[in-house]
Formats: sequence, structure tokens, C-alpha cells
Amino acid sequence: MKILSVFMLLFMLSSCVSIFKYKASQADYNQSVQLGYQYNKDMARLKQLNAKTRNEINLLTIDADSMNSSVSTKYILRRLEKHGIKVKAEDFNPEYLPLRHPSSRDWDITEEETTKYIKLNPDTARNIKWLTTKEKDINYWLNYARMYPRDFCDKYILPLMETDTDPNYLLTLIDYMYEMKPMNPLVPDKSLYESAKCHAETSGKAGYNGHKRLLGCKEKFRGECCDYGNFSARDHVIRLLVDEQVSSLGHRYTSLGFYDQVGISVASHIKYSETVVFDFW
Amino acid sequence: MRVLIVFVSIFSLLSISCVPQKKYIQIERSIVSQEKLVNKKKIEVDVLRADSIVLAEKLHKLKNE
Repeated sequence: MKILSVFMLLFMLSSCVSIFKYKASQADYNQSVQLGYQYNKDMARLKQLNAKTRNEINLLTIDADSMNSSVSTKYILRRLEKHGIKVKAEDFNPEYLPLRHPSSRDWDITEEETTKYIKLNPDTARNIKWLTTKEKDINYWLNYARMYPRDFCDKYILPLMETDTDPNYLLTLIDYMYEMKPMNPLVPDKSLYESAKCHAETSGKAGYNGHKRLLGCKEKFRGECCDYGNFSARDHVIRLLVDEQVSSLGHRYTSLGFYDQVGISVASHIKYSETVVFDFW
Repeated sequence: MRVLIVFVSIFSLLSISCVPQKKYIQIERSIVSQEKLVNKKKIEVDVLRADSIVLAEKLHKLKNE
């Protein structure tokens, strides 16, 4: 019996491992699993961060490409030719203009949005009491140009090629309006209208042209355009878009820019007969 | 009888302070495979971290341009 007991004891001792050793191994294993989880988390975070950075780089590269190549004379002429507009290269030299290609900002507009925009009514000011008929008409044509740029271009900008309008301004506008996606219609806003009205009236009486406020007029806008001269509502909009003799093309890009509201005011001007102020927000 | 008592007490002592060798070997194997997996993940994280630094530098350069 004694021998049997000793034999069994020896057998059991040889087939088992100390609980402390086992627990230490288990702790190692758990630590390793925890480390694995930590690495998983780090990987997910870094992947997300890298994707975001890559996206930002792509956007900046697209912008840079658009600035450098899409708006070069060669590309503009090629695109115009695709639309059946033939221009002699020697008659067209817009390189002194700060041109922009709409693709550098179009990432902000989704297909869904453009589909929605073209179904909206461009005549957003017709029922507003505090606007004159001409101001309502200007609002309509401005929205029409933003929402249906191609159509507007075909009907009202292309015919200007027969006039003596500077081809550099005209052709770059045609290219821009053909390339851009439809924009949202602007909605009239009372406070913007008051800002525009005060500026139009005071500058008209003073014979001033510019954006500086006179006689304590309060300004409210994120973008402002002023036009001078007695023209029809549509012609005022066309003048902003063509932006002839304006080296910055600021009126063109502001009129077709990312704004939601507008205040348009027409007033008489002692030098130019009439002035129109557009305050955008 | 005395032998039986001794035997039972040794057996119970062993069952408290020991685990079967098979179980131990199993956990040792798990540790090895887990460490391999962790090392693989560590390399991936290092690569992603290096990518992230390169991308951040590129972005910074583009923004400054």
C-alpha cells in the first residue's frame, strides 16, 4: 500500500505544474491580449487620421492643379472648342487675370444639392414688399445666372462675342459658366437690403464709387458688389459677371459664390445716373 | 487507515497547488501565437505612424505654399 501511495504521488507530481507558474503564464497571456487590443485601437485611429490627411492633401492638390493648369490659356481654349466656340489663340491672352476654375470649390456641392437647386424658383424676391420692381428683376436675373449658368451663358453672354467686349473677360466667363455646377438661389434679406440701400443712397448723393461707408451707414455683408450706370436689370447682372476692366474679377466670383442671402438696392447717382449695391451673406 | 489519510491529504494539497501540465502547455502555446500577432500589429502601427508623420509634413508644406 505504501509503495503504491508513493508511486501515485510521484506520478501526480510529474504530471502537474505549480499553480504560481500557471498564473504567471496566464497573466502574461492577458497582458499580451491587452496589448493586442491597444494596437488595434492605435491602428484604427492612425488609419482614420491618415485618410483625413490624404483627403486634405488631395483637395489642396486639386486646388493647386486648378490654379496652375485648368485655367491656363491652352486648357480654356480646348474646353471652349469642345463647346463649339473657336477662338484664335493670338486674340486670347487672359494670363494677367486671377482666374479660378470652379472645380477648385465644387467639392462643396453634392449632386443631390445641384438637382435640388435647379428645381427651385429663381424669382425669390417677387412677393417682397420692400423691394422695387427693378430690384426684384435684378434678384431674378442674378439667381437665374447662378442656377442655370449654361443657359444664361448661351442666351445672354455668347451674343456679346459680336460686340467689342474684351474677349479675355468674355471667354473666361463663358468657360467658367460652362464648367460650374448650378448654385443655390439667393434669398433677399432685410438687414442686408438696409445695408445696401444706405450705401447706395449715400454714395449716389455724394457721387462716390467704392465700398467705404459714408455718413454713418452701417455695413453688413460677407461680399459686396457695386455697379454704376443706367442699365436694365439683366444688364447689371451681366456687367457683374463679365467684370470688364476689373482686374480682380471679384464681382464675377462673388456673384457666383457661396452665399445664401442678398440685399440689392438701386439708387440714383449724381455721376453715373444710377448705382446698384449688392450685399451678400 | 493512516496511509489513506496521508494519501488523501497529499492529493488535496496537490489539487490546490497544481494545474495539469496539459493546461499549462496550452496556455504557453497561446502566449507564443499571441506574441506573434502582437508583433505583427506593432509593425503595422509603426508603419502607419511613419505614414502619418510623412503625410502631416506634406500637408504642412502644401498649406505653406
